[in-house]
Amino acid sequence: MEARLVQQWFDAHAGAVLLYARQWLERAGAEDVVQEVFVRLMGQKSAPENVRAWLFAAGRNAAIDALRSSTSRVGRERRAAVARSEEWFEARTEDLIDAATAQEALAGLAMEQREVIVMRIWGEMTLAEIGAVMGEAVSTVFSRYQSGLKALRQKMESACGRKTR
Amino acid sequence: MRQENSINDGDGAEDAEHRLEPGERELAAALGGLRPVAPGEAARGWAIAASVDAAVAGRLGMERRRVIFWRAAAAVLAVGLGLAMVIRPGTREVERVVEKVVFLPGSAGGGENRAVAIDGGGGEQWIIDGGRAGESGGIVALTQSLWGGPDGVASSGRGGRAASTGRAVTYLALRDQALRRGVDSIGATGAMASGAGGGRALTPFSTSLNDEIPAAASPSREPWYVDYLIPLTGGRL
Repeated sequence: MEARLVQQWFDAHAGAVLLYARQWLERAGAEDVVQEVFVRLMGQKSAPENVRAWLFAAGRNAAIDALRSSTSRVGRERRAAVARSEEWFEARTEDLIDAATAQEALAGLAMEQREVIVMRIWGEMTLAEIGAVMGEAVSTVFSRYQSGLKALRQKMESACGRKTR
Repeated sequence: MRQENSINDGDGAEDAEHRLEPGERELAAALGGLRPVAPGEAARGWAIAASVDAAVAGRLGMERRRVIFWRAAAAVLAVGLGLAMVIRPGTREVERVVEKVVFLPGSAGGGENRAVAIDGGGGEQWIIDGGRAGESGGIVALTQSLWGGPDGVASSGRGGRAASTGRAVTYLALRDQALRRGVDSIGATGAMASGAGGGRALTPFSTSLNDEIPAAASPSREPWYVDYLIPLTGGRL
């Protein structure tokens, strides 16, 4: 695989893949996953048909494997707590939503809802692509997406209400 | 129900965004404005791996080029050797001049100021110089000219011994004839007169060495020999 192409894909998708991997892992572990995914991409003889879907699928497998390989449940929980304290998004003044509030609300969702929302919104994937990565039907993906957004909205409204009070 | 059906069928699946409630769409759009944190240096290890791969590939390429170079060099050498075998350099032509000087008694020399050339066959030519007979009490110089063959010297190579033997016989016969009967006795059919003014033109002729040679005075001294090589003009040594 040409390094120039991989660099382009890294610039385009690495942030979203990192955010996706962080749904399971702390930052360091997620960055390891991103590195592993792109090293594997470099090793491909030809470019995948759908690079973006390939990256998320590979990232999902690598993140789940890394999570399973953790020897200590206590350590895993501690790392998850650390992960929540780390920023998932860049804090910018022009954003319509507070990044920390969004992160907190997102972290409070069910895992399957988070996966769909991250891939749909930041990965800019179609429902069909998401369904292929997760091995789910498109209707299932849509329902998770919709329910996840509802839950997010409720969480963020309640968070805003707490802040205004 | 209609919405579920259209998504199940895949028809209008990408219209799912429009099937959301307005608040959910706005939330999705607002979330989309958030930019995920960019990966740090740790996630860029693939680039290092890529660089290593590129370096390894480059090294392999360099080794491959080196192998190709040496193969080409070996091929050129082989071709050169083959051409050298096919196109062998021209034979080295040298003239081997063996000057055998025989001291004669003054009477035997005869004092003739003449030289004779005798074609001894096989590329050898004997020159008997009677002009020097008057010097130092009589000298007959027997000069043998041998044209080099493929191996450079006529006497070497296959049959060299036989040629040498033949030449020795020729020399001995000529010497005996010169000693016994004088230089004038040689070259009854091909003798040449000495040229005027010191330069002597040599005319090849043949002589019969089997002629009966009458007895003559014995040489006063043993002959001595000078054996040297003269490279021909344009020849290669």
